[in-house]
Amino acid sequence: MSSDRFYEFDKETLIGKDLPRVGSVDKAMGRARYAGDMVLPGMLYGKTLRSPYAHARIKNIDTSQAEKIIGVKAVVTGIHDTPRGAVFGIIPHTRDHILLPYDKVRYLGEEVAAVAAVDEDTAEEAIAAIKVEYEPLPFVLTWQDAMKEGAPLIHEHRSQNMAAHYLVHEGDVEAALKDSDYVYEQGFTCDVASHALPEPFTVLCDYEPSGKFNFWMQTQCPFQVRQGLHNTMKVPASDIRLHSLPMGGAHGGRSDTPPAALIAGLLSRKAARPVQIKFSREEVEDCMRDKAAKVWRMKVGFKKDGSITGRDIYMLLEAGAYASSAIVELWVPLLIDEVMWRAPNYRYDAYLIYTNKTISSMMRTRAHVGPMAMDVCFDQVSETLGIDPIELRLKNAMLTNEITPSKSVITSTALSESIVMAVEKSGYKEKRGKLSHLKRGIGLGSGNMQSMFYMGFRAGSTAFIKFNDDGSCTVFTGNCDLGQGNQTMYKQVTAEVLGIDMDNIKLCYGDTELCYQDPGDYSMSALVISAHAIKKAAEDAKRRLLEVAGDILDVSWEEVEMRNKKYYVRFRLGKGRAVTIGEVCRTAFKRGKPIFGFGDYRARIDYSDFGVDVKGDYNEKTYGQKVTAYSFGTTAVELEIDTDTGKVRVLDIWAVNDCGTVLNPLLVKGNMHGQLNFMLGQGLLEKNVWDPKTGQKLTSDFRTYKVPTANETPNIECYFLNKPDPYTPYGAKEGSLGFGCGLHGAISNAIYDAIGVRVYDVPFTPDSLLKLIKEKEALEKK
Amino acid sequence: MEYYRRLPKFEYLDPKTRDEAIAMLDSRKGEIRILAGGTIVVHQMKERIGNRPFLMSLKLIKDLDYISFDDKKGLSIGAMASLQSIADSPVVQEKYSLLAKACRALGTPQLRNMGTIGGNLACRFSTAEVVPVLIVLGAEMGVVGSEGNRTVALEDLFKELKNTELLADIRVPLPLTQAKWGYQKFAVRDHYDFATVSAATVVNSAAGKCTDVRIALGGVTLATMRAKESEKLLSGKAVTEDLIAQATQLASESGQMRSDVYFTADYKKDLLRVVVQRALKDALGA
Amino acid sequence: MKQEMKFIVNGDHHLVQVETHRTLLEVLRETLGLTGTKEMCNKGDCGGCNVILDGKLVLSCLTLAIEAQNKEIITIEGLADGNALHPIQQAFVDHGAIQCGYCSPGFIMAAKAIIDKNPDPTLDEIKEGISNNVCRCTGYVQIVEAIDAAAKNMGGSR
Repeated sequence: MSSDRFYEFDKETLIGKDLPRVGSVDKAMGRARYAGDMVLPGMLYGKTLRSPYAHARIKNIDTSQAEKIIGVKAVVTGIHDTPRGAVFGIIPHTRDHILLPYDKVRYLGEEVAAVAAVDEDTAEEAIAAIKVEYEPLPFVLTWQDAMKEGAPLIHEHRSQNMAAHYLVHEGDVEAALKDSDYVYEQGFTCDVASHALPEPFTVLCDYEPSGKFNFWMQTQCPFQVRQGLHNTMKVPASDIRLHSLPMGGAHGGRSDTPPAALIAGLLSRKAARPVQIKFSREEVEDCMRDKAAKVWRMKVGFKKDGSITGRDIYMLLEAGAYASSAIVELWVPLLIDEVMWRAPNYRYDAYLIYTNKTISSMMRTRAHVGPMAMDVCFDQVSETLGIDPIELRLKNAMLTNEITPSKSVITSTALSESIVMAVEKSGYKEKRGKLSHLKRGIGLGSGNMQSMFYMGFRAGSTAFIKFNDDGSCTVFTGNCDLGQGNQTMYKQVTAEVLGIDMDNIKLCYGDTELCYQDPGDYSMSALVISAHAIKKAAEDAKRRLLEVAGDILDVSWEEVEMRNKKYYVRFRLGKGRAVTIGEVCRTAFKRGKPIFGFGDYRARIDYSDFGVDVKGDYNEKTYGQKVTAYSFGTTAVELEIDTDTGKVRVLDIWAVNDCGTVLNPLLVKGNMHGQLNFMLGQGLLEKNVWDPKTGQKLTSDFRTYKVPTANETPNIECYFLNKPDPYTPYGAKEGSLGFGCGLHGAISNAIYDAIGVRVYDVPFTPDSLLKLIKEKEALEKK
Repeated sequence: MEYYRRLPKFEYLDPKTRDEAIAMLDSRKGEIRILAGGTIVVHQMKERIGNRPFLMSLKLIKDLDYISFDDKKGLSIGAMASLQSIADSPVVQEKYSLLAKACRALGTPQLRNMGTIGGNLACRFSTAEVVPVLIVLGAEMGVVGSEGNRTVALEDLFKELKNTELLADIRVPLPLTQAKWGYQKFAVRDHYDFATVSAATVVNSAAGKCTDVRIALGGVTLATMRAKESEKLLSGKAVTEDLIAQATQLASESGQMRSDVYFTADYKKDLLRVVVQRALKDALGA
Repeated sequence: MKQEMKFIVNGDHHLVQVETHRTLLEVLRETLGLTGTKEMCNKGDCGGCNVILDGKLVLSCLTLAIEAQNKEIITIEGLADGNALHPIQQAFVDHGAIQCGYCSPGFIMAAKAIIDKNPDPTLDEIKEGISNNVCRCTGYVQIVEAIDAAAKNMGGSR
């Protein structure tokens, strides 16, 4: 723990306490104001005209009739209003998104034009009056079609519709496989998944005559959005302000600059009035973000004793029409895959393929197909080699301080311990192989997640704390809170360091004008980066407080201690003069040196080698520390199958979490339940379907895209290993993603345990399972 | 590609009596869409499906919302009775427990509070979950129009109901005292998704042999809702495992289904076989 | 077409002019400024727009505003007593049942409807009572715990 404790006496630590989420009261009362709840004087209502074609050239747009409608105050189109040459993309190599296109549309629902009117009925009428001339083009909806010879090119300069290629090859994987006693070979897939966020996307823009754009919108990374808008609109960063506000969930799906933000900006500037654009539910599902489908083909070489000799992975990412932040999903599976199971020879060869579908971005369930592949592999290989499946896992599990194939150091891992605990808590050994008469089975799956991956100069946060004369303070941090509990964490860390009440700490967060740059709620950085900066700012403030307190008490700052929130001279057992924090602050003001705290934390990643070949093929060998910290965990699942219908009912999940120190168990458990909900839905229920004739998505609401309800939720037991990381604040790591990424492997293995059927393709919907059950029965009859 | 948030505009009609409603239907033939609970119609209007210039709400017509039982005639339910009120009705629970169960298991609390039995029937979806249940209970529909009132069998409702007529009452005959029933359905998400398929059956027996057998299927085309061949097979016979298996096979073959976004027709056939078999086993105690 | 409408919301009497093609959700949010009830899917699939209409839990996005004529509605804003939380709201806060909070008003109204009808619900009855409500952040576990705790805490008093 921190040596700051030296100065505290009788202070109860906040670390590890169940603290309610800051902001909950307003939300419980319905008083939290999200972007769609805001109304500004003179506000106009925006609406977007969207392409009816999955792929088409825009020949002409005639907005004259729309502009004549009474109540229409501004109309914008790509042809007339998009600044030329402005292209969005989170890395230079895949900057391919003209947010409001002027030449071509690449997915059904893509933005073509927009209006702002005095009310929504008028806006809808105006949209209907805009005439667009399209030249429809052939389109592709699957990676197979996209990569075929002669397939229509979605981006002309990308042959085979390949956006990027990423390759890491350590050692000699082919030789290793040749040299193995057994080679496991299998393909796995997962479907396109949707975030299905509660808040329908809304952006409000208020353009000030002086040239500044004010935005209120649902986003995970306000500074990224500011950057995207700065690049597109070509205005200084100080003329773009993203305001702080509560947001209705993100889960990875709000990590880009959405076209709607640019459109709202252009409309507001043109109309000289605030403009609010609210998406309908279908619009959100079609026109915001999805998570790419994946094909994962894996070869793993084993020696007779069960040790892995080499692993050869080929991965295809079937993304949407623009690379957007799906490009991150190209290398994240590497970060996840290379850090759990030791492989002296390793190849990861991954391709990002465009299709004419909803744009892909990140998602909290990330590249779960890789962990699933290894867990199914271990179970199958354990049968082949006759080795206990737990022994097989523990033999190959990587340990703290081991180095991954791409030269990242694992600063802390309790993967092995999580496997052992999951086995113990679930009764895995007693149940496995013994429940099939009830059509029940038990399975294990392990996962991990990184905190803070490579993000260039943006991989750092700066926090500032300002004190009032009564000792209360405000913490400024550029990161936001999507509901997970970041606000609580920021206040908790500040209170822990300073010894003051959380209630006396206010937050100014996620406001791009008032706060310093921060990566945003991206790559699980809120804890390891943003909170780390806040901790350093608090430590900085504390030093200044102690110095002034020392002056008042006439001792050096090292001789000051805090008891019951007051400063005393040490070793006097709380007797003698006491100074309140308010007195300290007022004294500091009088001296012209007010108390403040300033802290900066840069991610522990070595990004100097993470370069991109200027010519464009993103296939540099990249080495170095990629990630600040890794979290791990294992889930055990017990489920039951109705073999007549193929329907699976998950009964129990035991989830063991290696997330270092647990700052706030109440909140982390809630976040864990949320991850399991996402994984469960994507594993068993959620399927996205496109109409092959038109390219229209047919699963654009909660009824057709089958997200879990309370009745699909099993019993969940959460366990924490509490093994601290050496570099992170209080030894804590991200706690809501990594542990649960193995759930699909656990489900697949449990299905096999129950009915002897192997499943490799997520989602395991009832019809797909029934088909496999019948095939097995047919085989047995022969 | 249009994405709507608002409803389209319409002329709103809110008749206070059945006669007022009939007069409106008559004078604006085919231009009126009827609004009962709104769970289907308002949803469809948002998607711009089936819009008409006029929307006529039946909510103010008090004598369309009732549940009453008569010792001689049986159960009579007004078309505007909510599904929850039917599920909660003591007389329905006591004397028509199959109907209470089906209404209780349909949808969600909100959809049951808002949704009406008339709306569920008139929406013309083959997934309307009350339809198979009312078929096996022998229900008849009371239809009113300017040309008078008439009674229509449920299976004929969809082809018989004119756009100048109103479905007003659902009449269920007295329950057969010795009858047993079975009801099974399959949904992807229980208590949320509409049933992909369902099966309802009522069987009366005397001297160990089935006398009155009714089997109705849900999630199939309207024309194939009544599993008549299975009924014939079981009629007059003593129940055996084998007979149930045969009746199940016949019923699942007779039901015609369409593929949808989530499931193929072939898979639905497999599901149909399962729900029919389980419903028959429930009723026949095998 | 506009019609005059009288209705009671959270105990307050209102007289407003509404277009007949407005939904109750739109009128509550836009005419009365009660933005606590959420437009989440706007088509009845998620429960975010839950209100209690004449004692029954309904989806306000599928209810025409004009149908609330002469009726009594309770929205999320009607539960707290000034700044003092209703026991259900307090339970949600205490049990970590609120994350992004967007679905929370809908769940809290559904919880009130459950407990109003059945003061001692089982966990299964709670789950059935919230079956129309979709949450993406919490995974439902702490929501069910909160409703269970609230029911026990309210022990018969509504």
